[in-house]
Amino acid sequence: MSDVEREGDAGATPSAAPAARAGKGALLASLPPWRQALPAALVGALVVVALAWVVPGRPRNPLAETSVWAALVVVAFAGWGSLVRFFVAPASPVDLGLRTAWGAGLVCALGGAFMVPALMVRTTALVLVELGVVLALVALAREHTAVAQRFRFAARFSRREPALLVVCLVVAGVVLVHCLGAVADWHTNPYDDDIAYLAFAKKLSDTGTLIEPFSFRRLSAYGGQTLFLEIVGVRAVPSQAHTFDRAVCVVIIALLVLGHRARRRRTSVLFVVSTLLMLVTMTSIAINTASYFSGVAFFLALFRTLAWADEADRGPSRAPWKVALPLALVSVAACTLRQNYLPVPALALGASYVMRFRKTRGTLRERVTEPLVAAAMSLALLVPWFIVSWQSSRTFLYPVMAGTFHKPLALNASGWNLFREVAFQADVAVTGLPLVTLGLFLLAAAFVVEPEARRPLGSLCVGAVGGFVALVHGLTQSDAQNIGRYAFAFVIAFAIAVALTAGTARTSARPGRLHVAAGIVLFATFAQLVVSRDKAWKEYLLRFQNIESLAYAMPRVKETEPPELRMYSERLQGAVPAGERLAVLVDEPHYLDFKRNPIWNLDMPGYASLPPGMPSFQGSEALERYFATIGVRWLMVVMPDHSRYHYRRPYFLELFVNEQEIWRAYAPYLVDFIDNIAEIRGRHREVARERGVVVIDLAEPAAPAAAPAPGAP
Amino acid sequence: MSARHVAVVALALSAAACGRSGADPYAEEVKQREALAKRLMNEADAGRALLVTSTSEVQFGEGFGKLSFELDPDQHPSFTNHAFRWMGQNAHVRLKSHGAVPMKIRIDGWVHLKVIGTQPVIQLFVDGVYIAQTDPVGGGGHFRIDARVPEWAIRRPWVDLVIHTNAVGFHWGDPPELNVINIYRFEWGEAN
Repeated sequence: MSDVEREGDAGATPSAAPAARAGKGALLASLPPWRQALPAALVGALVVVALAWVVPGRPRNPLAETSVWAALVVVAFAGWGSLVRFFVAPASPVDLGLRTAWGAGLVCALGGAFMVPALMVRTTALVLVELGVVLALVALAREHTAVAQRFRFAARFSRREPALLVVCLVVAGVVLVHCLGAVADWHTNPYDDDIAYLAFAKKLSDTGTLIEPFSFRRLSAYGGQTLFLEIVGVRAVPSQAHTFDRAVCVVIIALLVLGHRARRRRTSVLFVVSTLLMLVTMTSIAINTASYFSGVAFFLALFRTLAWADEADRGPSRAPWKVALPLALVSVAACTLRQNYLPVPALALGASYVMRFRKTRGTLRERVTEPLVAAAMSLALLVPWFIVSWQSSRTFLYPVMAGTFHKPLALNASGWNLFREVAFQADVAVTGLPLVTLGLFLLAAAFVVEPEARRPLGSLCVGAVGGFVALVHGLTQSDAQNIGRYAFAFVIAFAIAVALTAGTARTSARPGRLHVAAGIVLFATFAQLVVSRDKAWKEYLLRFQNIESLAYAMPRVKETEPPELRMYSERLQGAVPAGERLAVLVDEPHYLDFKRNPIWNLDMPGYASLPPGMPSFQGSEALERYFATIGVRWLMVVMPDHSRYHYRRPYFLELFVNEQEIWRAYAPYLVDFIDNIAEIRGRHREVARERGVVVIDLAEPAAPAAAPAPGAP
Repeated sequence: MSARHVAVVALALSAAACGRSGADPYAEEVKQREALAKRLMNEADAGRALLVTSTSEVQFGEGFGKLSFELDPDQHPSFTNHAFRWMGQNAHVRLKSHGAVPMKIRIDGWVHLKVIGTQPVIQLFVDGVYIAQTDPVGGGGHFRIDARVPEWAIRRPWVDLVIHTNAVGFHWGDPPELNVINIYRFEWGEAN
């Protein structure tokens, strides 16, 4: 262990901590005021320059533009988090990682509230980031002494531990390449992103809310991830949507890892660098732009906030809401990312408060006030998301309340029993996750004895295990690899939390259980690094390639727009009168102009629909009557022989005999819909057609010959 | 209540939840979608694949390989070609009960006699109850089993059918890719 770590450890004994802090404070106080303020001023100037460069709308290098914007989003989160800190803990230190996560939680809460009256448009996203940056600048000015202390600490570390500094810089470089690789990654998933997730972000940006009653994917999340995609999308094209999850959130995770303290001990450098390296070299299972690392960030923030709350309990007494608010912010933000995340914070907070209740003394009222306040705040923060979910899908608690979901397409496997359940749970745990040493992290956790009343690690463990069991139980039609994607966030957050906790063990202390845990964690981490090595290197080679491509790419101007943009938003959509309701089944709905027409994305027809329910297997006339009932006159559909991925009829025909029940069950619905649409198309007027996408007017009978789209090549 | 009690209650509740039965309110729609699938697959000349595909009443489980297709001349495994599943020494199929009625099973398969070097006997067991067996499979290697499953052997909403072969030509602890026996047709329905 290094001297610097021991110095960071100065607060290991409560009596030594204030003296050490007082010493550092005296040293700083001896410096002239301008030198104390210099580091904060430099950081502030950098932020202002970045903001001034990226906000005005003009052509720029796309890699630099989105990277700078992503960095400013992190700064904005830190600014909003500093505001939270100002209210809940103005006198106690809150590290940058926690602030950033709290700030992201607050932005998520504000975004949800803005979505209710449909105000969460692109301008609102821009203003939220700008305001956050201003708040960050204010915090920098107010806390310039603390910033100077961090700089001095970094300088001291560099002088005393040059070898470790090199290691840290290498790891930081790997993290940076990971983040830039995310900004430059042009791959989007044609199954999820192209037909739904990217369109959600565009629709939110255009309309300020997210009403998609026909979308199964809309049911599957409250929309927090979409909100963040919209925020990052202010200076990114749709294909850069990975920027939020794999860049912004990875930075937040890194800050959370760096800032961790428990019982006034920092996590040792060895554990910090090895954990971060493990995180960014783990085989990627993120096949789309949905929540992966964002979930890790918020679940890790929940763990960190519980640890912070425990520290706060030891300080002067504070109002219960001051602890409950940050807990509610990060918990609710996690809940909005994916519907299957819902049980995790609920169980984690519940377990934490039960353990706190058992470990603390005081009146019943004192012991139950904070849990009740936290529950009330969480509910209050969730209410806007409930409302928007209700407006969209007639449910505020899918899958408990089905809403517009079509119940015969339930996601539970046929012929299930307890033995199959246990086997499947184990299969997902063993083969579904990229963390092949998960069992060792669980073993290490078993050796950790947490003296904290709130038991941050134990609570997250309860939440993660409960969330995992509930997830697998609810999705037995699927397979281990797909379910593993949904469990990735809380499982990885738990593993990181184990590493951070074990990493507070000190070699100078008498060996105990924490040292055993630390040994197991190190072995598990290094084993994971070795296992991931080959695939990770291939992924990084691809990242370098993508970064290079984007670095030399032309700025975003009209000439670099994809041809689909004008095709969808002008030539095809232009055939529909402005303001008229339009239902679409196309491969790239994110090119549509959602401001011009109210648009429903049919997504995966059959899974979800407005009452009285979209008829399946009842013929095209029934489907046509249904469209008339719900007020749809205009249809934009891609013909099955032109669909580039998701609406290819032969592909879905082959899924009739797929090994996964979920596909065998669903495929007939889509093929039936496609066939019905073909018949409907034969009976009605085609008002536009281009590249296999047709616009149909259901109020007009078929014209003798189809008209090409105006301006179509 | 102790933690142990809580654990026991939780286990009992989850077992009850997992094993719950009752009429399926969506059975009619499931029938409709399977009827559509059958019609469209037959129209596409791919109906053979449905004979060895899991359905709402038949679930191919452990011991079976994935659905395979004979290759086209260009080595492409088209789903319209002959479809089959390789099986190991014990292969499981979960079958949905129709209540207290006798059921029938039909299985058609093939043994690669040149590789296996013997004439295996193939037996059927439903939840441990012996149902039927073939004679030693010889000739061209094709076999067929038509069996009746008495109603008393069907005691659960879903029963476990084990297709057991007494020889696969290899030691069980040294299993190669067991591409020696396959089935290409499986039917499950009411006997009467």
